[in-house]
Amino acid sequence: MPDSISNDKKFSEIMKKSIFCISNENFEDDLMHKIEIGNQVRKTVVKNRSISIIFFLIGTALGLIINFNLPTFNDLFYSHNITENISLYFQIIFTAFMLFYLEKFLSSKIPGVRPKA
Amino acid sequence: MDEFYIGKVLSGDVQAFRYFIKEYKDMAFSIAMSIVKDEFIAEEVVQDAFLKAFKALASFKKSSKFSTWFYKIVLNEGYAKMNKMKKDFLLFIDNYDEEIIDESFILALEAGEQSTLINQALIKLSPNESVALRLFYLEEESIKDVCAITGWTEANTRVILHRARKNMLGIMNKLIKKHS
Repeated sequence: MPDSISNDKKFSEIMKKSIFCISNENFEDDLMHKIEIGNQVRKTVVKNRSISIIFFLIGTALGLIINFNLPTFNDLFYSHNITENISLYFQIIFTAFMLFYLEKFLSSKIPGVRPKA
Repeated sequence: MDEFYIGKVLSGDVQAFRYFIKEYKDMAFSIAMSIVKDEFIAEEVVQDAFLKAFKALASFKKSSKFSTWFYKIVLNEGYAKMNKMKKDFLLFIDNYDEEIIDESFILALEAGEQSTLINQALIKLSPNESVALRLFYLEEESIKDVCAITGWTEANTRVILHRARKNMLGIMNKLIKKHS
């Protein structure tokens, strides 16, 4: 059975005439256009991710500075409790933002072709 | 040649991907037609397959041919599309076991008639049989490559090919009788 398949030249000749061609003349250009748009989106996503990392690091640094320096602002407030409460709320908000950012950053996917490592 | 253009695309030259579209679009379209049996849906399948191939190009392992890897994507896209449309997509496949036409008779027909008849017959064939015939006879892939593309075993591929050839000749016989 397999030999009869591979040796069948006549049938092979018939099958050679079975190729379909895409009738849409703009197929190639349309597809390239889609690919290029996808690639631009990818570049924008990569750029935005880098910017978000920079701002995240700046925010973290500033957050830590404020957090460590809050107790020194005791003189500005009437009560010592106020600075402690502000510090606590600040830490909660800061941790929530950090977790939210990390979740978004790790789950985000970069579309388009990945460059060679 | 394929490797050269893969390198170009991966180094950032997006336009180099046009080479793959030019080179493989017709065969990819023929394979997609074998599965979905509709010109517009097949075009969609090919487009999705090219987009997928572009995105995954970095993961392509050069141990296999680009065509093998790409046709596998086309097949997966085609079958996924077919499964999505299953509700309104029914295939009626007759039994063509009884009469088989002689190939010489088909080869004696005019070129245009031959092409129409062959493509009509392939549309009536089941997706798996049609894909097997196109890959093996049209693209001249080896049995091993057909297995790599389709995921079938070697024995299964041989059986499908044998049955497909028999059915194809049977369908063509019926079509000729219908027209004469």
